[in-house]
Amino acid sequence: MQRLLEVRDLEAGYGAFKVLRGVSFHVERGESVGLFGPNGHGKTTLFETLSGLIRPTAGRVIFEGADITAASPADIVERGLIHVAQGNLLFGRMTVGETLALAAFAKRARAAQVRNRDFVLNLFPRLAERSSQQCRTLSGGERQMLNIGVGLMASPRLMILDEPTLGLSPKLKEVLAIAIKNVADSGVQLLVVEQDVDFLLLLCSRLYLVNHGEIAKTVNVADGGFGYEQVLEDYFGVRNS
Amino acid sequence: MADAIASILISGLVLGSLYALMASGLSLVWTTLGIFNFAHGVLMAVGAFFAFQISQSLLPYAWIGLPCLLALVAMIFVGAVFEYVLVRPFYGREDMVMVTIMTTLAGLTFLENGILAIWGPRLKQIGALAPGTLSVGPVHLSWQESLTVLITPFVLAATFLFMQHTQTGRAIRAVGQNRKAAELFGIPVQRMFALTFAISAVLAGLAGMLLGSIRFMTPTMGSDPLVKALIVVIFGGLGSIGGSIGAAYVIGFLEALLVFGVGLYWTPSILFLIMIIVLLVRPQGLFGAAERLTV
Repeated sequence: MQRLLEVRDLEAGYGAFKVLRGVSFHVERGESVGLFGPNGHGKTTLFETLSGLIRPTAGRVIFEGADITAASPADIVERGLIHVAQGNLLFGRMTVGETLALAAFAKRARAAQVRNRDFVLNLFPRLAERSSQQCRTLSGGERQMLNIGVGLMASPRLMILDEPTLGLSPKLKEVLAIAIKNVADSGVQLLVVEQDVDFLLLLCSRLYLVNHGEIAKTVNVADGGFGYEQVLEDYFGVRNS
Repeated sequence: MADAIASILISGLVLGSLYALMASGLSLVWTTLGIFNFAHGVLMAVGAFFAFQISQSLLPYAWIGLPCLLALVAMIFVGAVFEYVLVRPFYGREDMVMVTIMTTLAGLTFLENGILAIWGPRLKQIGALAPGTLSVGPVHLSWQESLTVLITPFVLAATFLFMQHTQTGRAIRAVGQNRKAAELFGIPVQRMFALTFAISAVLAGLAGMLLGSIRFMTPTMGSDPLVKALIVVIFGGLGSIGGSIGAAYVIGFLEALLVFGVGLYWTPSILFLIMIIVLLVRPQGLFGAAERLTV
């Protein structure tokens, strides 16, 4: 059976500076996959390349059997590969309700708008309360909820989450982690970057360690003894007790 | 005295309508693309001359409203082509604001001289939507002026509703506020830019057609309204289309009052003086949100 996402030898960067140096990984149908690794080693660049914001210089991206390497962001969204950017401030002078409505911009998402909206507001009741407020008045946690809600409104086949709990309090982190777990359980496949590897282990069937713009290590969660604690110690100098 | 007050009121309303149509288009392009369209004024003349030509050669016996409608449809294409040729090649450049000052100025010169070359220097006028004058007590105003005053709020309200309540309108606002996020929503950004120019060209064209039967049409008929629209946009607060519309009527009335009080000669300078004083007290403009300038 054909894979949901296949990334082969992807290279990309900014001008002459190469950030991705031949990244290859894949997402099977039905699974969620996690990426981790030190900051500044190309995870966000990888996601921006997948979503069409950055043109890769080499390599291929295949989504549901179709080559989307050179596709436009709009085309990629239409296919259901949805990128929820890191700490996205969205549209300061637009209300939460308007933003959610706008997020169903793709043709495919429009048909499922009502169902998606119910799901999002059920997942984050706070967004329903804030519906008529402008985005710029939201707190960091609410903003992150809106970002995930926006991704869900687009009817994702694969939703990319870039550090969804970055900079939040432990309590909010937990709220969002539970919500993200619920999203995954509802059948939405995820590709997640997180520093919190324990969270990724809970969510994903496979983890990739991204280092220096390459996949340095693949971790199959089901295998059990994969030694990710060793990896953490090697790369972050901490022992996860 | 009642005569004078009435004529100031009417003149203020007519000018305000005209400036509101011009300023809302200018402001729309500014908030969506972050550039200033110097050719916005000449689009007014383009609209008026299109309506003139259509009524002369295609529909000589039809009511003038019909050629105007056709000319407005043509303005959609004028706006989109303008964006495609003069603005689109420069998206993503760091010096885009500077470059588009040059290209829109080039567009201004090209269109002004193009109109001159095609239609010649002789003054022209398009027919009134409705002939004759309306008299209420001591007040006399032409039907064309009253229609201008009446049509404008409807057009502006329609534009406002489109921007607020349709998915496309929301998409245009989104592109202006956060282009990258808009792209991740799947919004075709460049198409929204073209659409923005199309809407602003239609609004300018309509202003030209309305003015073209009140005054005479010339290739440069839009340059004074453009300067006024610029004052209006700054005065109303950059980035606020609603503020621009409000400010348009304020400036319209001020101008009518000043023309009556100090004469045509001194009016522009005093308008600028008032604008400077207002901006000293309220740097964010009359209706602008304070945070916009700091971003």
